Amino acid sequence: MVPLARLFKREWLSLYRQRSEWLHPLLFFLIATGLFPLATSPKPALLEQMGGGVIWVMALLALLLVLPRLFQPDYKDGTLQEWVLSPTSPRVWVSMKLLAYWLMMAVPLMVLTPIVGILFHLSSTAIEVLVISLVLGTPSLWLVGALLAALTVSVEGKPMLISLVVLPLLTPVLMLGTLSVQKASQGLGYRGELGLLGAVLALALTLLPTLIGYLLRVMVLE
Amino acid sequence: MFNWIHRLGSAAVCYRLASRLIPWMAILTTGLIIYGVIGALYLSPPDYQQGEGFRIIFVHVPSAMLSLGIYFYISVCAIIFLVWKIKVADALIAVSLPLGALFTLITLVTGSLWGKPMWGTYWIWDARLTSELILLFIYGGIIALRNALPTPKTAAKAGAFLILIGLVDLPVIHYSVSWWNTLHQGSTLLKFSRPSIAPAMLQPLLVMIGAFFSYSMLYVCIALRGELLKREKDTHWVQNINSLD
Repeated sequence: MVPLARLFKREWLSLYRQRSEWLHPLLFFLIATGLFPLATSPKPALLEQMGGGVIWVMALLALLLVLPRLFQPDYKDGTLQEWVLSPTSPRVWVSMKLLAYWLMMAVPLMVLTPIVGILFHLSSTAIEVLVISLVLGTPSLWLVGALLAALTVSVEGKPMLISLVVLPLLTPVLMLGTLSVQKASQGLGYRGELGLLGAVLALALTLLPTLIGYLLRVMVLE
Repeated sequence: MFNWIHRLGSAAVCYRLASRLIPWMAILTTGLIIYGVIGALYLSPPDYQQGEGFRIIFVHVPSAMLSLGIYFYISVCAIIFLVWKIKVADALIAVSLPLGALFTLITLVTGSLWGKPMWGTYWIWDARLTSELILLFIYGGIIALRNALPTPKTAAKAGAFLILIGLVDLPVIHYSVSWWNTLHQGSTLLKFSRPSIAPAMLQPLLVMIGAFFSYSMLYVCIALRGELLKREKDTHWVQNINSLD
């Protein structure tokens, strides 16, 4: 049994050393959100109305840029095969890998979010709710995305495929997240949506790491 | 009983069964469609509010039922394929996926054609319309995934898993979409509530639903025969296909 800390350190370091892997999606997030005011209108009222949705969609698209390369390098160089054959439960290292990715990408994203929120004239409550909804929502996005990354691990050179498959499945999380921000900026109660995001997260956290591990095993041993 | 079900796992038995079913399904489908179309277009009276325009219901409702019905049925096939590794179940999935996607598309197109005169717009982000659109995307995703995977074996397995993931996700999508919409905007255009349907309209509708179901079964039987021949072309029973009956 490999200690959790060592597993995490391995994933963290290998991710950290490939800076473009996580830095480029973050830059994409910043630049692409900046395009919306340019392409629609600089009116604060309109920007405030769509700000939450734009930030959520762009966070989702930034995630999609990483997904095709989540398990592929490990699959190509044989690491994944070793993991599958090792006595360590696949659930454990899948969780550690996703934790490393989430910390490396989602946490900077949440630091950037208030800045982007100010650019979109969001109120301070709305920004607060937006960050909370991202904290609760992005792990679910990651887990479902990783599920599909596991299913398509043997597909090479078709990076768009995973987006086609995963986007319709992720619409509920996206809608709940955006809805909470919209209601917060209208001064309405938003706890219901955040609660549901938390419920989805609880379900995803308990079930999906096991399922991802199982699917990787099935797909690698095929 | 169990023995009989077990035999259905064999491609040759399925092929023979499909061949025997085809003429009967063809007769049933033709009969139901003729009766249903006459009933829908001539015998049922025009709607008191929507006039003749309501008649699109006779295509719209059956396709909507089948768009979801086919998804449930391929989910059952996916479970059968994953648990008992019965290859015929995967062949059924392969031939039924385009059919399900087609019915979803027909539902959306007829719905928007119906919406233009009745609601004044081709499209509205209503909960049911949005769910149906996302269902179409899910069908597309499954077909794309199956086509992209390198070997038929992995494609079958990953496709079956994705169908089941979608099955779990569909109710979540449905409820989040209806919540999203009902909070977002009240009924402005969807004000009319359909009266519980009159018997003179209900009867052709039920006939049309039956016709669409039997048409789907007919299509699946025909397509399954081709799919099985293609997959099993190197086996003994296909090589001696002429002496099968």
